[in-house]
Amino acid sequence: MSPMMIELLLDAFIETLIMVGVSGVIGAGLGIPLGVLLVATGPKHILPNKAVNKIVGTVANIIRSTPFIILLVAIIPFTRFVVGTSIGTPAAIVPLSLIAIPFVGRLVESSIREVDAGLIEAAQAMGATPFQIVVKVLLPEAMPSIIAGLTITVVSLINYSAMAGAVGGGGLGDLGIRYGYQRFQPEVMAAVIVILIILVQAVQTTGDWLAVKLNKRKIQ
Amino acid sequence: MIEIQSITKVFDGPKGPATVLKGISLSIGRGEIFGIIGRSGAGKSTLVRCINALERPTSGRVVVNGVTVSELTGADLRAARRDIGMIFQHFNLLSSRTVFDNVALPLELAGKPKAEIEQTVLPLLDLVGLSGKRDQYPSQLSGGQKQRVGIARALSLKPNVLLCDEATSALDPETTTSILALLKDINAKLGLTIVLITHEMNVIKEICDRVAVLDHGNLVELGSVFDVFSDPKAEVSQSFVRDVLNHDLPSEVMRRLRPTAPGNPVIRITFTGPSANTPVIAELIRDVGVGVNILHGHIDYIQGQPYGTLAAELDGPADAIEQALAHIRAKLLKVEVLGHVADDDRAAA
Repeated sequence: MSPMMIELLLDAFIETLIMVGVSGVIGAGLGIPLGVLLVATGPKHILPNKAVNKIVGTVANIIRSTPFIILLVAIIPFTRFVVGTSIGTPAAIVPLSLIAIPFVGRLVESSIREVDAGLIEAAQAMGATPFQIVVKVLLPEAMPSIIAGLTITVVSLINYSAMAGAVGGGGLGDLGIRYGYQRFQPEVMAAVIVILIILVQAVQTTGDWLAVKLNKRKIQ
Repeated sequence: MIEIQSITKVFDGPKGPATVLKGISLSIGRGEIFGIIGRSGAGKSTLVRCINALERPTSGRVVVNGVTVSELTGADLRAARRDIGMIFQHFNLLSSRTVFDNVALPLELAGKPKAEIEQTVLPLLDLVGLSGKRDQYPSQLSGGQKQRVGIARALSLKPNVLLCDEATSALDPETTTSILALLKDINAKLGLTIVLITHEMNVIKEICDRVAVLDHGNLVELGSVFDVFSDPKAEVSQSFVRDVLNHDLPSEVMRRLRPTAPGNPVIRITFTGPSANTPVIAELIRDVGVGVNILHGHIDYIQGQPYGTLAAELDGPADAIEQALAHIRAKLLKVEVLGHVADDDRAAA
């Protein structure tokens, strides 16, 4: 493989890391509160609110049900509004973040639901506010499961980022398609696949390790 | 201390509204250990949750320490709850926190500074006998130890009431005894009012001063533990008492009983209160001159008072037997004739 090719691979690798990294952080940053909101506003929970619950749940479903490749181009006006351009890596980060938020939200929702209702009751009996219940009880108790959910999210974002080429976002997937498929360079395709496999393995292993480390439910 | 004033609770069930509490009134005194017993579904869990407003009564009021908790909301309610500790059947400890941090949680929630938290938590761990476990996680503890953490946590804000929701129901009998001893100890040391709900009469017998018996949302009996044990009025109370006090005649004896004479009468004497120590059997034999054939007997100590029953067959002429019964009654002991044992039955047996 030529030095130029290696440089292209390196650039694409960094683009993938930036796209996945930034959208992952935004997805977690907004998705975790979203998950909390979905649970807490549910019936008989700490802040029951039927309207908010219904609206937020529906919006999350709409984003989740749109195929990513369509979302990518459908929200171009919004992307331009946010980052000032509709092409390049920044332009890919917007739709990736948008898909990551409800993705994380739904996973966090189910993680929090698994926390024993008795703990909420105990916290209420201690005089905890709803916010304290979320921060001191629900999130810490659900953390191992949330970490597992974030791991799944990052792996999915790596997958989605392969479609970023549609808006000139670059990244490994884009490189694989353009050079490996369209220019008949199977060794590029192979290199992209190997790098992605290693990347996903690394993410998964780190996530698993962290989830186990934080889980105090089992005697270690 | 705690005034429960004619509260009702109606839940919207899948099959329409279900009335869980049907007008309950209770008054619990300061420093008392008050038991609420009932079968599952009797409404005891709902009742105890009304005391710290985890449930709101549909009608009626709950006043704790002069504060109408059933009408509080927001910050006032949270402040009132800090004066009421609670422990649970399944402990409800945070798995992600160490023993120390679990006990510290209510203090953290109340915004206490770190130094004060340390000063409060360490003596509490000492009190419940878990000083050596401060850095362990709940998953590393036994059930009894977990409940001790629960108790320490409930006491951390120095409440004046402790609610115990089936606190020993998930524990084995030996651990139950040690947890009850701890609760009794805390009650004596801190002057804490304890309200505990249970379906086990043993728990009531071991530590309570007074007991309320719930059945299908109704308060069917209320009184001192001794009175309810020695003379249960309601049917549920009787069945609860039978669970713990084995004062029934063995079936072997029951089978031979005939409702009427001929045959010697079988009597049951109930010993309670001051007359429980009377040597009445000796007197019957020595002074009245009847034969006493003891069939079955049992003595319990409830709240430190003896309570026992003795079933015996009296053997002698009719007038001597009449005299014997009169003699027992004169000693202020309860006596009843359960039946008669015919001679041929005795020969057969």
